[in-house]
Amino acid sequence: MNWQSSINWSDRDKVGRIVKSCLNGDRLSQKVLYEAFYGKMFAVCLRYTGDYYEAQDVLHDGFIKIYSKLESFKNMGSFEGWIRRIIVNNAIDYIKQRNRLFLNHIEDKRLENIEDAYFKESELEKLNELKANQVMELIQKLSPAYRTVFNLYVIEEYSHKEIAEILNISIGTSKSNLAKAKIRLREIFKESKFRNE
Amino acid sequence: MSKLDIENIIKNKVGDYTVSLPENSWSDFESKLELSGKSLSGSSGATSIISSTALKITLIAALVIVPIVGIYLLKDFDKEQRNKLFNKHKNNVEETIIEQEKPIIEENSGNDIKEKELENNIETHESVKEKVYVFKPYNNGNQVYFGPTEANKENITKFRMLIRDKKGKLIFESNNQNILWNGKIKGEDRYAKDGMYDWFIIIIDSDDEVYRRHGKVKLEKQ
Repeated sequence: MNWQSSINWSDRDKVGRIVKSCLNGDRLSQKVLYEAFYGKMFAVCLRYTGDYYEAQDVLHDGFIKIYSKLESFKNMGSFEGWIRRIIVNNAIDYIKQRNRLFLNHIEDKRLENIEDAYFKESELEKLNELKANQVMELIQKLSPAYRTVFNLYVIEEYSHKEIAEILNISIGTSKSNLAKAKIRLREIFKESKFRNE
Repeated sequence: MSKLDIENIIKNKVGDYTVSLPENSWSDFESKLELSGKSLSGSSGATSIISSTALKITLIAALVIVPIVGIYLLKDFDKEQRNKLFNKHKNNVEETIIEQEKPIIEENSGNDIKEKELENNIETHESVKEKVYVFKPYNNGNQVYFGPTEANKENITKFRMLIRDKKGKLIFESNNQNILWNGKIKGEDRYAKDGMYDWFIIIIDSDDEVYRRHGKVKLEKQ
């Protein structure tokens, strides 16, 4: 059963009722909430961790936080957006803890030429033909430092200033890591089996 | 195209990417909750979290009652040895490197996807070399068990081990570090089919350190 399709999560009344049931300890409601958002939130965790099992752990920790914070949900904005913020923040905490030494100090001389970050038109066309899971695979191959900044900037649309604050790095490092992430992404794409499909 | 386009392409592709829900995901989540000692707010009923005291009593009882044949005494479990949780069983579990595919990631492009459609959407990752244990559950008539053998059981306060087949079906589970996998299907007196299985283990030690490990084991009944 796909609960995401059967419950309108934009309906504040319904969301309010489910949140209340979850807070009252109704295990079925807790399960409904978990299963409804599992797919999207697992994909978020996969993008940040790059490993299936790590992503699962991070997701589960994230859901524990969601249940513990439900009381603070005001039901004023998007429920999915609220859940996603908790999952992303939890994934970032995990990465910061796990890769404390690597987020800031990236020196890869191979990735110095900024011109390499620009995909050729033919490459962009090929990239555009890929399936979502294939693009996910490319992102997952980035190093944690590049992947984290890339995800925060490109997908979550944070500014470099915000990323610098979140990751405790300088704005310059954030910009540099984003540029290097693109160069590396292009390399990964060129080396991948997808390029010739 | 400008450099912004690569960002747009990727955001459009993966911004709303969805992974399909595995069959046992919720029960796995509940298991982790159980092990972590945390509970969902106001949890109650049959599936409520087992208190750590009850779990300890169960473990102690199991230690006394259940005889385990063919496993080594667990010893010297500390942080440096976390990577040795799963070690060789004498002459029966061998460590091999074989070509093994990464876990399957499924793409769910729609909201209400049927199982048949899912199968068609399955994409496998490229092959990588991964460590796999070969487990032969009996040797010269002696039952052998698969599981962690070099951990100091005195320090384990919580233990959970799962064996799943390729489809994610639960084959074996244990909440007791002295009850390890004998190669048989849970609740049945018959061995599982030869082939590859996933193992998962979570251990919490007396310092509340949580150790999570997973990997592959190849069952070979001779």
